[in-house]
Amino acid sequence: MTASATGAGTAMLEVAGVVAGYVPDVDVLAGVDIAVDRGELVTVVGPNGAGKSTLLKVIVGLLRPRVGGVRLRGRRLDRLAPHEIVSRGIGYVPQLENVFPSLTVEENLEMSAARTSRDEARRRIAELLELFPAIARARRRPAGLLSGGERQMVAMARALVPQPEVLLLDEPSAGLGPEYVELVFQKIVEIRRTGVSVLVVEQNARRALALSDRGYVLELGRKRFEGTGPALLENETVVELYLGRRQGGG
Amino acid sequence: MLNAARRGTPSPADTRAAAVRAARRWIAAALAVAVAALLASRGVETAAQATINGLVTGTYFALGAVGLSLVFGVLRLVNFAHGDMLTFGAYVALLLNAALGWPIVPATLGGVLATAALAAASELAIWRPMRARRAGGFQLLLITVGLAFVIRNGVQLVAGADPLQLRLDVTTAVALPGGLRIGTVELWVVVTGLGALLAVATLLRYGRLGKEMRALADNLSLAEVAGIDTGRVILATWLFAGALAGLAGVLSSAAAGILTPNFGFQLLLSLFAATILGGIGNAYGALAGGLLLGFAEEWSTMFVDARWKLAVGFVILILTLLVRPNGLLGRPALK
Repeated sequence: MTASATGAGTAMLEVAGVVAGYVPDVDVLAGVDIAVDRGELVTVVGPNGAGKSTLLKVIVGLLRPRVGGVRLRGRRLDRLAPHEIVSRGIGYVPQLENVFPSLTVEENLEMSAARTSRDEARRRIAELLELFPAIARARRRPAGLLSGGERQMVAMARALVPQPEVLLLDEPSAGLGPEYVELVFQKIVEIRRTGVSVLVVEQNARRALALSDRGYVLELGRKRFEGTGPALLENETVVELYLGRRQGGG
Repeated sequence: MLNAARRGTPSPADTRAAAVRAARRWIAAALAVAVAALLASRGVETAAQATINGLVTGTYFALGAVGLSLVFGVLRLVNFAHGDMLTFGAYVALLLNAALGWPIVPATLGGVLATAALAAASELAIWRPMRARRAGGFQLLLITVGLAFVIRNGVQLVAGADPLQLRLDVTTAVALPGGLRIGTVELWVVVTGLGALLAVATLLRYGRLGKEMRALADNLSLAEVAGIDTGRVILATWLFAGALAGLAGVLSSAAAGILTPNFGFQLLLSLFAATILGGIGNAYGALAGGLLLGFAEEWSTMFVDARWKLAVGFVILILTLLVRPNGLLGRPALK
């Protein structure tokens, strides 16, 4: 763990003591603290129902925390509407239904260019289509006609349009074919290299942790372990309980 | 399939889809020829006159249906008060025109703006708070029915139940080639209505607001996290739907020459039919559906009594849905 990630108020993104849930009296998150530093790649792993996706929804404002708060560069985000949180510098890619199916690929990207001038938006979209060549040739097709992997690329590119400081990815490799899983991880590394902090929730835990600076293990809405990616991968308990024994060389 | 298409070797599915499209084009062309022949059998002039009347009816059907469809597309709300928004617009124009002596153009504009304001007020006072409380679809539907009665009775309270007329010159007509005539008022209705429809279609296709409306219709919560101010877009949708309803109300009452507090509600069924005919939630579909329904109803008067034209419209609706369950321009939802 880096020192600054625990130091109060110095992290880029800070989630402190968050309790949240969808129905009254049922807490999906029961007091979670995590932090992401500038340019860091941080992975959250854990079993189903641990609250991983809920954590991202709280950060982006789709769910309001009952207790605790979320800060970006020390400024509070909770209580803001999702579109305001996005304009403060958070990008979010949901796991499912993450494109607008009846809009073309280009129009999908335009939807996140609300606060930029037309020329600037066009330049930014061209830049992102270069970063994601897999979707550049489908730019005028409705996104609903694309494959799951292509949609994931559209969703990631869309989230990057407003140049977020922190990108939140919810299970970006879930349900994709092997070649797209590879591509998704490759893109995550490339995005992070441009200075964007990335917080990723991932089922493909081994793969994600191996690339990550740090990781957290959530269980039943609480943080159980945290550490550098390699450290978590070597932690016997974490491997035993949350990652499963390696099958052969896999 | 996508990969195959990209490599330029069409997959069997692509070939099948192309064959189906070609077959549909032939069926549509054959149908058009059959309808034209049927109409011509009653005399070209009669058919042309019915077509002109159909264009007039279709124009205000389309205007009303597009607004209904926008609201359904963005909010999944079946707005039973939409017909009475037409009534409201027409009566505001009537008040300005007949009671206060305004010329028809500013009076129409007044009706349009007032209906837009009414729709926006309903969003701020009713729909937004109800959404915040996560009201179910059935509750919202009942509210629209209640709102319909409130608007209709409110109009009746102020204007009375007797039929009233806009101050329009309904006696002059413009001669068209081939001995056809179109009333000046009707011509004005068609030009204004089609102009407004063209402007709306352009905005929806190319304007940022139109794309945002389509994005909300696709997925509201994704629109929020994509950075779209959804509250603003929803309010704009109501403003648009209201303005279009107000215009449809003024134009239809101008074309009919008479208005009563019930006329909007009586039109509502046709507006729903036009919306469904075109593909529900698809604004272009509503536009096409409205025009088609207008033509069909007026053409039918050449063969059956005008009293039955509403029934004819619904027979066409049912037949269309049997062939294309998602409406003319609708397609199975892209997911």
